[in-house]
Amino acid sequence: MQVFTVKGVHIDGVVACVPENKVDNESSLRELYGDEAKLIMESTGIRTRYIANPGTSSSDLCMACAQDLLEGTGTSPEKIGAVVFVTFTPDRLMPFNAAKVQDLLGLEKEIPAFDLSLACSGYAYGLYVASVFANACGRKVLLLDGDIQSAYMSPYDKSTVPVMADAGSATLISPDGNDREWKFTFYTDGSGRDTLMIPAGGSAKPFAARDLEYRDYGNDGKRKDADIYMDGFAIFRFVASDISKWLLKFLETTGESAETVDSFVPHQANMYMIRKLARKLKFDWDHTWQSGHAVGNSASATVPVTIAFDRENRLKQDGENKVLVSGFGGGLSASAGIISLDPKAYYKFFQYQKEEKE
Amino acid sequence: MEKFLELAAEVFEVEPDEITMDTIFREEIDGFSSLVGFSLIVMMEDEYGVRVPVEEFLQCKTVGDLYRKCVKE
Repeated sequence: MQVFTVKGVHIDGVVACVPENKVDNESSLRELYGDEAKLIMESTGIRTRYIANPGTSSSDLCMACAQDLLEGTGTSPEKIGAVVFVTFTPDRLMPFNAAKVQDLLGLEKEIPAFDLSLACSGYAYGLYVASVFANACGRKVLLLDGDIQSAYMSPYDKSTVPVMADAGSATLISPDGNDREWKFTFYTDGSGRDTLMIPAGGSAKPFAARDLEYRDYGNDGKRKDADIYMDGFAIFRFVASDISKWLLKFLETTGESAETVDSFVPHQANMYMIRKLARKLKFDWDHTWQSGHAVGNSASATVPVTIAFDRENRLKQDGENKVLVSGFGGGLSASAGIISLDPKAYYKFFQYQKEEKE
Repeated sequence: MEKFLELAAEVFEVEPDEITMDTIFREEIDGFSSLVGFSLIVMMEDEYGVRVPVEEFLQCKTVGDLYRKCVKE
């Protein structure tokens, strides 16, 4: 197992937001599932989800978070040395979101700014890359992570509708020269790339009119080729079997365990899956950070969303918390990091309002 | 057989003595859902090395039906 380490960085703050529309999950599932709606809602544990207004973009949500984060941490734009934006739903296919962020936040032009195209595994990737850049440039790095999955969701799809949601986040990493070593590891199994994907719209299958027509997939519901397809069982198996073993190996390789790590911040795939995963890693539920029940599964942003949402319940106030963060999903791909969270850092969770749009 | 009941009980989140080989799991296990079903399939694969296709799993009615998939191979 490859373990990547980075030392001397600090998270100054994590801000996350959910978009305009709160969806009651049981009601939203009634049309698809009829009398089974309640059972489906209870089995995933996702009671409410948040969906953006049409036209609200991933950069809108993340920019709102970034503005609050810079203000809340008293960080002026010239302090930012790089921008990393994790998203698979950028505002436009070209150019990338980070360029827009550089402009709208008034950041310097002589900085690296780029997107990382990853789905649910994105946040620990972003943390690692942002930390390496922070150390390399000796300045703060802005890590944005957010997706508008609803732009690619069929309302008639029985796999995606019960869990998927939208969210945005901003994390500020600064090089402060401390001695704490963060450890990361990554996992890729591209043989499963067809199990969670958007079939059309890429260069392999540029959009055609037929991609915008609904097709009937029988018991699975209806969706367009422009929509997200998820093979729920394949993803479940990936997490319950491959990822649980891989995370145990990561803990073992780094000499860590649920005893030495304060808590676990998993990607909020659904509450059933993360409860099972936490149990396999021997983290009790009280030491497992949670937000999916209230906000849904917003892809890689679920990790920073959960940090901002649940910090009052999970963050110990006596010194730095050593936490395991991990995301897993489309690719198939996963990432994990053993990092530290400072209870004195700036944290905020809010609901995005339209008037905050520029 | 006992070991299988223990593993199945863990998936169902009940005590092992609350289920038998005759338990009709979809009807008799509180809160049984497709996710619990997925968990059973993964448990059978991890513990017994048996990869049961979802379609075959759907034909199983009792805990014993699942057990026989594991010992048959």
